[in-house]
Amino acid sequence: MYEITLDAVNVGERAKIAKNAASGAMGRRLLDLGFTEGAEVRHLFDAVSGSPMAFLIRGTVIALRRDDAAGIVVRKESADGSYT
Amino acid sequence: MGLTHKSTGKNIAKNSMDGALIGEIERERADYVVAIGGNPNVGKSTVFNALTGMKQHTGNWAGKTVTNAQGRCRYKYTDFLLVDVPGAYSLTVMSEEERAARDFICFGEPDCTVIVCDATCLERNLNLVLQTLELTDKLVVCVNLMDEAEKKGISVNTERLETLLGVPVVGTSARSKKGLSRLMEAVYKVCGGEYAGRKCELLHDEEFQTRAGELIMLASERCGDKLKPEWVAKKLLEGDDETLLGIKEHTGIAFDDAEAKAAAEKARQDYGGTDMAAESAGRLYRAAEKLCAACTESGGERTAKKEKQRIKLDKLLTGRISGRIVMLLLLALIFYITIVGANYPSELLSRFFAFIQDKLTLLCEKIGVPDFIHGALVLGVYRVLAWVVSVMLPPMAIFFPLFTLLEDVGYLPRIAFNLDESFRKCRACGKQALCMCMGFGCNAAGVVGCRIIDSPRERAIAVITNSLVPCNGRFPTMIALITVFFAAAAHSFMQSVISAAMLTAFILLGIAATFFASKLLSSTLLKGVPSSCTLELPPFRRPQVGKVIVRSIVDRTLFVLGRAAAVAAPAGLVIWLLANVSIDGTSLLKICTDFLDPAGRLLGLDGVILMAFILGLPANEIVLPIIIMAYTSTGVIDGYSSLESLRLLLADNGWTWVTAICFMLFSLMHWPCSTTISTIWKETRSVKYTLTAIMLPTAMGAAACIAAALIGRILGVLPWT
Repeated sequence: MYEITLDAVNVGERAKIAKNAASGAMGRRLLDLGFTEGAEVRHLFDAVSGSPMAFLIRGTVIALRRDDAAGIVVRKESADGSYT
Repeated sequence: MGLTHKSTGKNIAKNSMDGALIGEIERERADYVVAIGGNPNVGKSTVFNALTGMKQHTGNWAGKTVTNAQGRCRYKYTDFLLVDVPGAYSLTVMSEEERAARDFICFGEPDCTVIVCDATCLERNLNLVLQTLELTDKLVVCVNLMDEAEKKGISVNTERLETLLGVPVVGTSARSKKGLSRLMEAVYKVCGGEYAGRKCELLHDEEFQTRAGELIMLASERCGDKLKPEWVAKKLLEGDDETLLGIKEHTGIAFDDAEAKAAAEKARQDYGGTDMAAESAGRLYRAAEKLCAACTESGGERTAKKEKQRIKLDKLLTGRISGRIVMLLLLALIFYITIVGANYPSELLSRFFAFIQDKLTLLCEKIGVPDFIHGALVLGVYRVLAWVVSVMLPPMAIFFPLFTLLEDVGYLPRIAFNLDESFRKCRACGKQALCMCMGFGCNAAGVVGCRIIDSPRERAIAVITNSLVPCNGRFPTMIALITVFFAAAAHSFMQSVISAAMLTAFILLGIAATFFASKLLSSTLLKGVPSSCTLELPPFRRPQVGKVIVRSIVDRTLFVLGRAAAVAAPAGLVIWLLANVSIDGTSLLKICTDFLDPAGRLLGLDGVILMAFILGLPANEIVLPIIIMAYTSTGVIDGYSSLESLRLLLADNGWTWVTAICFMLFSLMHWPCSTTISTIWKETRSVKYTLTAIMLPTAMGAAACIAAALIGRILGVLPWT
């Protein structure tokens, strides 16, 4: 099993959220938006400078700043499509 | 832009911060009070409008509705008061707009709450439904956008959902008014208590009941039947101080004593000290996942294909080069269409008004009206009004619908996405771009719109800098000046292109000024690091063209015009009186403008222009007409009948193209209009911020004007003295 932070997921790739490490208001906001443990995210595209990044989560496209995405730990999809 | 009866002008006062709270709901005149809530951008306002026949403006972005709007609806001889609350992802409060939603649903004691859901992404919507279910059983779930879901190949089994949730579930397509009577039937039944006592099995959590048993007991002792004890216990367990404070504020029940704290701590220990907020959020979402899996069927390939198209378009709109080009071109194109389209009607209107003026003068002569009265009413009031209408109406009637179309399609959040990094560098929030866009319509509306920004510091920055984007009261004036001074000689096609390009350049300057001011504020008055920013990029929707055009003309254009005219009429009278009442042979106007003249000259303007800006405080629309009045009332009468005569008039009074540039710079950056100032005060309740919002743009404008005037003087276009 290997875990990385959400900002390290490449465009087009999927991952499952392992832990929402953001604290305080932002942590709460991310939970409300559906960034809860086990949820599947897909990195869709980035803005020009690489931040913010657009993710598909629970059917909606949500943009997060790179720094905020770095606060979310995910399990990445392996080559055969399963989550490790 | 959000410029409706509700969000513009004096009504803002009513709906601001302190207003629009629970206490102001006119409960006594209705049989039942119904709250309409839901995630952002699921069509709450559309449902609300369809039910109440109201014209609350809808747009395709999260945060369109920032205050609670009310409307009435009659069904089966019963009066319902409907309250449209701002969209929220959850009942935890993160920003001011969410507070309005949470406070009403949690503490407003509505007889029924309707949670509107988006059928195309039900899972995240069900999260809010479940949160609301924890709070109240008087709930109706409205699964909206069924038509859109069908197009995407998604089907929702509402009967199944109803069985599982234990509350009525109604599928609707509010845009085409489908399913609304069934929705009202469900609301009617819930208000009548027909569904009382049903329980949603999904929410029952054995572990919670045992481990938090003491907390539940405590809550039920203190709350009686005012609030659901399980919900309060959960909030205690999560340590959600914000909500607990809300409970105290609205019901007077406090949980901030040692006993409650100890009980909460003990329960947390029982849970093994895990992060309870994350735990319960995760649990609700897992329940939502299960529900969603049981009740919806996705269309597989059809859904995937739609998704692909959407991502492609998004990549185009946010791409490195394409994103910027599209942004610039759209802006320029809108201005181009506005300028071309407004040209001829403006001309026609001013000819018509000049014709009427002649007739009025003849009439006055015939019935022997004294010269003084004729002067005050016809040359004063009427002429200023005529100017405001003929110059403002056509561009507004074209610009508003165009911009509303962009808003309806869902383009505005993409602008915020593109600009977020620049805002982050200024230590502000990308959502400020949305407030800026609203500012194009009306800065007062833009200031209220700043509630979508979570961080108070970043919200204050957005509020203070909002007036650096020219509102519609200012840019028709800019269009007129650009046309007169910079494009008049060109061929008619080129003329419009040049005008549009120049106007776009000025808008970009305004945006640059916003960045500059934001950065300045974050390193001085509002020091801090950029906080986080989350932004929803909604799906693109086909705009309802016909409706947009009618609504934006009726609601926005005529309303704004009406407000401008209401200010213009007395201003016309005042300025005419000033020009025609003399002390020792010098008119009052001359005394005032002479006094202001040195300051005006320094800015590359003159005393008259500066005076016009000061008198234009109530509404920017009247600045140019005041200038014209002041110049013409001293003798020359042929004033505004065409743009060419405007140019001659201004040139006769010493205007050069540098004067025009300085005028536009100052128009772009000076004190906000009085409506905006009072709105800033209401939103911030801070003398410091309000004064900064007045002084900062003014200082920036003055600096820019002095610099431009200096260059003009060096070039020899402007006299040194």
